[in-house]
Amino acid sequence: MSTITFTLHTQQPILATSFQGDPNSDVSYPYIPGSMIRGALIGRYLKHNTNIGDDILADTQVRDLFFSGQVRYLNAYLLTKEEHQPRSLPTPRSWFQNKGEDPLERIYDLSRMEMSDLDSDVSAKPVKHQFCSVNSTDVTLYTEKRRINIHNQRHRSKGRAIETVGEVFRYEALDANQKFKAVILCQKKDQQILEELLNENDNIWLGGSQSAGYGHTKISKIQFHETWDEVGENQSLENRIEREYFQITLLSDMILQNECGQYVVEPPIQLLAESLDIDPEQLKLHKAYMSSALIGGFNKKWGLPLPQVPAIASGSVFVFQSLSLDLQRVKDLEFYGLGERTVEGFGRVAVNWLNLDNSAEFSTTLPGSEPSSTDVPKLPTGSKSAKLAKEMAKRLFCQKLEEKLRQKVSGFNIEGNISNSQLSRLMIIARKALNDPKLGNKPNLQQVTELLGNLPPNASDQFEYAKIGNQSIKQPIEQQIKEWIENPSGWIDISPVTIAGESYDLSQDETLAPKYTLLLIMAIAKKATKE
Amino acid sequence: MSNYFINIELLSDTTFGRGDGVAGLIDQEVEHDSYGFPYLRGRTLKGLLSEECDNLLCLISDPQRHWLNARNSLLGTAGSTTETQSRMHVGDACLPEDLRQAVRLQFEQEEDAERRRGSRSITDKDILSSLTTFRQQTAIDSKEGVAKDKSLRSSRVVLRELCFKAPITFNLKPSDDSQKILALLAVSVLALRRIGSGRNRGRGHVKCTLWEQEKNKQLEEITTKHLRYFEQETKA
Repeated sequence: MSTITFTLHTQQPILATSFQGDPNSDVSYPYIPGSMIRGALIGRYLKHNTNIGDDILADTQVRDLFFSGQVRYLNAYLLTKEEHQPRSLPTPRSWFQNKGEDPLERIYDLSRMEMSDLDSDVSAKPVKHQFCSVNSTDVTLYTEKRRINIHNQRHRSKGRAIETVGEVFRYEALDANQKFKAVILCQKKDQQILEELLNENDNIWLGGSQSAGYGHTKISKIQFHETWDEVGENQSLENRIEREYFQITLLSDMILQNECGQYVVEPPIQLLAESLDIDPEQLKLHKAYMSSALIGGFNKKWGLPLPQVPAIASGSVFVFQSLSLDLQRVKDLEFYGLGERTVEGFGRVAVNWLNLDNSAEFSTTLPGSEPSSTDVPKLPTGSKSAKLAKEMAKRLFCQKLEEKLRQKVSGFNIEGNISNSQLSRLMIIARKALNDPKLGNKPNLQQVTELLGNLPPNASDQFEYAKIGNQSIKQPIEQQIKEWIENPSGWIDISPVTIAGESYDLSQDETLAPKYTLLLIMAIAKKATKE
Repeated sequence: MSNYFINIELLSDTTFGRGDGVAGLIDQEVEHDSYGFPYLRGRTLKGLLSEECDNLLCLISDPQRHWLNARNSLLGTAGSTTETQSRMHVGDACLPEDLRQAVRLQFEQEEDAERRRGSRSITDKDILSSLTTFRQQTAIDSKEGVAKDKSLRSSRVVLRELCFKAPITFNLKPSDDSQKILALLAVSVLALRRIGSGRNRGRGHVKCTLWEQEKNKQLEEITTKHLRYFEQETKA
């Protein structure tokens, strides 16, 4: 037996549709299903083996690789930073937290304690994060990122939505730029051909809407393992098997049928007993924390969806009374899984997972996001991107200047008698000064200075006695305007804007400060005329 | 194996709609990513190319149905089976990758600084507002000649002169006529001149071109080359 692990890095959102949400919406699973990985590899295999006819099941190698159960394609779960457990696993449903605890610090495992043992101030509520990695009693919780897109159906010939063809539908997909760890369990003889299929091209398309902006994923870090434990390196089965209880945790959804062929959602006692070669009556269920899910799928060959069946949801926990177990039987149970569609990663189980320390409480953390580099981002000098970044920084800086101007104007008011005609005169001159043809349509503050210097005595008195300022400090309008004109950048205390290493500040354009000073004079004069 | 790209240059302000707005601010928001960069969805772009391609096929004589087969290989047909699937994967049309990577790194560093200092200097809203602006419009009452009541709407527009690039990947079968498929894509790309909301009202005027990048070679524009082949083949 051999194991191949590899990383799937999503370049575009992935549409792995589950049966959730409204009829007009597609909601993705929180992971990449094994069936999807298997389907993509079948596609690659058939592309190179064109001599296989329509009935691909007639080919022995196809059967062995993809259908017989010799090779199992497990679900790809979120990648962790833990070396001992790079693939996160579904959070056990026996884990509870104190309601409203934010940030989450403590988790209580009710499979190993009673509700009555909890402190009286703890109100138990299931943990909402779907995936976890465990290191002794430290747990890191993970949640996948999603992207919601809304699409409109268009009429094929009219090119737009019409009354009969124009439904709005919603795709809730796994977001781009996330990493998932995928696993293939295989026989040694199949390893080489699977390696060739994976190495053929590092770009692979998974899920729905592949031709239209969804599903692009990159394969990387293909590794082979002689021995591999699904629950992590430091939890070998030999250490887990001898415990006070016999506990089963589902690491993926499990599809079960009863003796009448009906799909059922109940503890898998009969199947477990058969797998461990014991009498079902020996398996005495002590506790169960389980939930159900509806499972479907899509067969591209048929062009049809698969039948919908109920299943026991991943993370379900069953605790039985202790019994002596055969190591090889338990190994086979963990390798082959239980129930239906185990080739596609359904029915994965872990025996006595998290039972090593006998602790019923875990301390939790959320994955930290460290910057991938501490170097300041820098674009090649003179490149189109650098020019665009500079332009963006400039626009942002100007927006900040406008915001500053608005704040300044709202804080100022004018007291004293100054007529609207004088204020209008000031506004007209300031507007003219914004684009002086003599200076090549640049702002010219000198024009305002000249106006103030050449006013007739009556008007000059008005500018001298009327005061301007905020609630605490007020000074004559004439004096204030002269101050602004002498030092136009004095009132602008805005830090430079930097985008992708390209900075922009007042010093890069000498016309900015005079321009915004003139705009400030105009805005204050206008405000005064209205008051 | 070659990589192909569609280059979209905005000749007028454009709204890549996303079907929602921001309450109290705008009625129509543009599609943008988590860093604030506007983009055109691959799904939308494929729909637009499909429409242009269908319009062109209506005009040419194709008794042997060669062009129709090429169209079906290029864009796929209804139904999700392996046989009817499109051979082309259209990616989102985005702004330059190096700029987005640099901003992504800057955001990571800012988030780290925010955790330690409690403040950050740039947000996704800043990036979006540095690449877009607002447009307001009303409806005019045809009888009165004045603005209709409650008809004022505002929408965000992506600024003209920006260039977006969408990656195109082919997954051709040996039986496919690759020259016809590429020619059909090139003419559809060239025919695509209006994109986004309000494209029949002045917004969304674009110039699209098809580019090829062979391994270890420079990016080369191939629209004209394939247009000539299309002209030659459809002349008769």
